[in-house]
Amino acid sequence: MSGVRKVASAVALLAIVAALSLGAAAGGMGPFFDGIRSLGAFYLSTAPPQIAELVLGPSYRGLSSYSPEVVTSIVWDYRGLDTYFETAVFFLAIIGAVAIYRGIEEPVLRRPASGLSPIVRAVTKFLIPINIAVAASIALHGHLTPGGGFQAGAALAVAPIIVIVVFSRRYLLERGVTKLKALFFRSAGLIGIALVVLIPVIWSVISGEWAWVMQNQWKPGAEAFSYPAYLGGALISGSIWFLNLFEFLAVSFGFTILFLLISIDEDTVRSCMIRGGEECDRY
Amino acid sequence: MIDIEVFIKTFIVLALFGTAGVGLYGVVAKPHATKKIISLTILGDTVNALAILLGYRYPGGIPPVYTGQPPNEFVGRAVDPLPQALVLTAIVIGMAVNLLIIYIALQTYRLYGTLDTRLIKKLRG
Amino acid sequence: MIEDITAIAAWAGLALFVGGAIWDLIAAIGMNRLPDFLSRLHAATIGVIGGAFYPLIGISLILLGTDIMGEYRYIAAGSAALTAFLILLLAPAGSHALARAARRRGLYRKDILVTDQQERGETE
Repeated sequence: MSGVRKVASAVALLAIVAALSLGAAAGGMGPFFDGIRSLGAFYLSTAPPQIAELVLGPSYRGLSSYSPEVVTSIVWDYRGLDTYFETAVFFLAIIGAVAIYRGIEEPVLRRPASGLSPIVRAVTKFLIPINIAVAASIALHGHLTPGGGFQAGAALAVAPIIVIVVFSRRYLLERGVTKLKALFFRSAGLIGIALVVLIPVIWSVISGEWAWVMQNQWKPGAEAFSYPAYLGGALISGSIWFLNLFEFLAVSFGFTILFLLISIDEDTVRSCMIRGGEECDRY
Repeated sequence: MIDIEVFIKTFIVLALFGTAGVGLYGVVAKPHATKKIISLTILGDTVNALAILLGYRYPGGIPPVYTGQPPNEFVGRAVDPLPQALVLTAIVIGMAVNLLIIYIALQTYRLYGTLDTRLIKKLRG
Repeated sequence: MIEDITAIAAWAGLALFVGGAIWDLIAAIGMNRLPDFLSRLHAATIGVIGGAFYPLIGISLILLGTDIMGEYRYIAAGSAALTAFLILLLAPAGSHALARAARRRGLYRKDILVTDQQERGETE
């Protein structure tokens, strides 16, 4: 890049930063640091069941999502369709990667997988169950504490990539985590989400009463249908718990597929490091 | 006499936009695809931090998780949950899109043997 | 009596916290000044153990010794202590893997190496 172009791009960059900062300071993005938007205040005052019932009155129960965690109730109840289609975007990205991968043959494996040194392997064996337990607790507590299906899926996706780095990709395949099985569990999660979203409509067709798509508790105008807020005495916030669970399945196995795709087998790397050769230039 | 509160707020906003500018510069000006991807990640994370900052309440913001306070105190003090909900999905989508881009870059490298966009331009596809 | 113990815990936590900052400074200087990969790895390990493990234990002690978060401080203190011990377990494994890889590829200066324990043991 020549000097004039460098100066021009630096000036343009500084101008962009200055313009954006000035716009933000002049109130172009709403109030900074003080006050709360009325929509946010509405979510805060209706999502926790205690506030909605005791303060606003029993007629506001239908507006509540029966979850003390306001962010999760926005994600899966108030703006549920938004999240539904963001999930679609997410899995379209994964399907894109799988489609590019189509037709590339798996290398034939010659030697058993060895992986890194025994110290690292022992520590990893200790770490993986902790990782899975934390991810499951993030998913299943998503309606009570900060967390949810997306975050839990991203947390669990750390496990396959650590196993790939420490034990090699073949270890994961030998333990049964293949691309086909991951695709199956991901599809099961997605079908579960679609079912939870569509059950009110199916129920509406069967019973003849009115119900909305993605309805959680009863809403004004559709009083007849609502998911159970408590299951065996424990608060599960209606559909939010099920959606978190299925999203957890779908996201974690979706990431597992991607990590299986972008990783290169240890055997290939070793033979390339030892011998080199024409076909190894692309790694 | 400088008002320290105003100074901190100005500093945070300027630093965020400056980081966004660095990310933008990397995406536009760096020739290597790996550096473009890194810059794209910086840009996305900065925008996410900015969105979180929009919902923050400066004196005494508490997390939007109801833990049994008096209701008026909860609604009056909790930070705005809406930007957090949007950023939450944006982070995961960003991670998936990043993985797709990295996978495409990997395949490009396997096909062409380089990720330098100046060299890829000269090659025949 | 119990107030004394909590006060001691809080002050010890504060001391560990400040000590962590000093360890981090030492580690940063070492990362810049030390000559080769293996000795810089030593500096990085000092940064992890001194700059992350001790401050997390300090946070746990401070939370137990004061009442700044109500009854949630026990949850936070337990999380901090658990994270600290996980770091204590995982950080050496990570630097071990890095050092092993560096030794295999010869990414170190042989003229300042004092002893090579792996040379006698395995041949691979």
